[in-house]
Amino acid sequence: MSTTDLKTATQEQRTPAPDGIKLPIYMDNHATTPMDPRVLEAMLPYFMEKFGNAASRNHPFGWSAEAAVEQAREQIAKLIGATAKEIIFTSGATESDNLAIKGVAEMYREKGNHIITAVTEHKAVLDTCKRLEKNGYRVTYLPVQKDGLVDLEDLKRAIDDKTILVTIMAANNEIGILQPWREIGKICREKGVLFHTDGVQAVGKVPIDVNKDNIDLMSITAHKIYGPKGVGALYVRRKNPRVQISAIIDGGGHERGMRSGTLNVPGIVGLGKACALAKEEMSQEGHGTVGRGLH
Amino acid sequence: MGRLDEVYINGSMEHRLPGNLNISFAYVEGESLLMGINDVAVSSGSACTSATLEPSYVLKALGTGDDLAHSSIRFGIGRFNTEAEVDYVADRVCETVERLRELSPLYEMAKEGVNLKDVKWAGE
Repeated sequence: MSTTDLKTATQEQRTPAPDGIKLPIYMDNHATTPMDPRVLEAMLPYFMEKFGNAASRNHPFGWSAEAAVEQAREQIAKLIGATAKEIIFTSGATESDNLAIKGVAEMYREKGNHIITAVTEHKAVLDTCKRLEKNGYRVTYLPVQKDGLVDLEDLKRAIDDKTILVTIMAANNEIGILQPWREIGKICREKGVLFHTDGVQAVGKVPIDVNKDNIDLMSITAHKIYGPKGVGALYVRRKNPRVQISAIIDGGGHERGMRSGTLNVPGIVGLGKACALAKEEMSQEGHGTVGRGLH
Repeated sequence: MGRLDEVYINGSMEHRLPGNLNISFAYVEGESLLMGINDVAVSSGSACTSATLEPSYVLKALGTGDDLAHSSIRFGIGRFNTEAEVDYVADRVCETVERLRELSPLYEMAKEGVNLKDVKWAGE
């Protein structure tokens, strides 16, 4: 069948768009989301008026940028039950996943060389794990059940005395399923293994609490929660246990040495605002009430 | 979308993000369906990489066959979608799936009770 035939066939008897519906309709919000106008409004002053470098310690331009960054850190921390100092800013989820996995792998190399993940993870996790395999690490890719969830017994069996990290996403980007992250966190804590979760699709949509859920590292991005593209964060636990990671980008020692590079102040302000809005509106949007059987 | 038969939801319904639906419409190519609903932005379960159309590795991991993986669509409803938009999209999808199936010899054979897995195709 040619494309023209197909087009004719599919466009006959088309339901006309009702009044008030603007075409095309965007319904691909797991790929990215439009910015919330309130996020844009919060960001705008930080492009021109308050353009300072958050690392400038000697003048008010730097101080106001730093204050905005610290406010954003608080907003993000509040959404996930963390403290502000546990939030490290990055360029987005791919970098956060890389930093978490490679950072732990390098830091804990003497303790062990085994990492556990699942076959349905995002490529940012899978390809990072593949890279580590080339560098002498051992990776277990857990299968999933028919419903997309990992079998917790498989996970328990996979953990051995060389396991340093389990990385399993909270919500899957393609099929939207929620992995039992709280149960995974509990198992990891009992076995003394660090737990990283890619929280990109879940944070802001379903309740996640890094302390109740025993999460040690979590990747977050702004553009899936009505914030701007190109900015994200990594949650790194500071207490019980204190998690240490090696940097993958070296430089001026920003973000307490874990991620050097001048901070993207407008983007960070946008991520903070997006998190604050998500926290306020999670219940109104029906988020947090559906699909939480295990939590 | 209750009016369609042979529709399969991919992944747990109980443990699921609000706003997400990943569905396979048997006997319909996801890419054709996307073309048919070209006023709606959604994603298909086939990742178009270079010359080959690979079915999603996530769907394969669930045990979904290649045919159903190729016929999958991911809907992601967000903060700014309205109920009217959701209704419109559902209608558009249903009518497009029905029309594509009318053109599908495989769907016709299946409806006539032919087990497609037992068919010996020419050239096989």
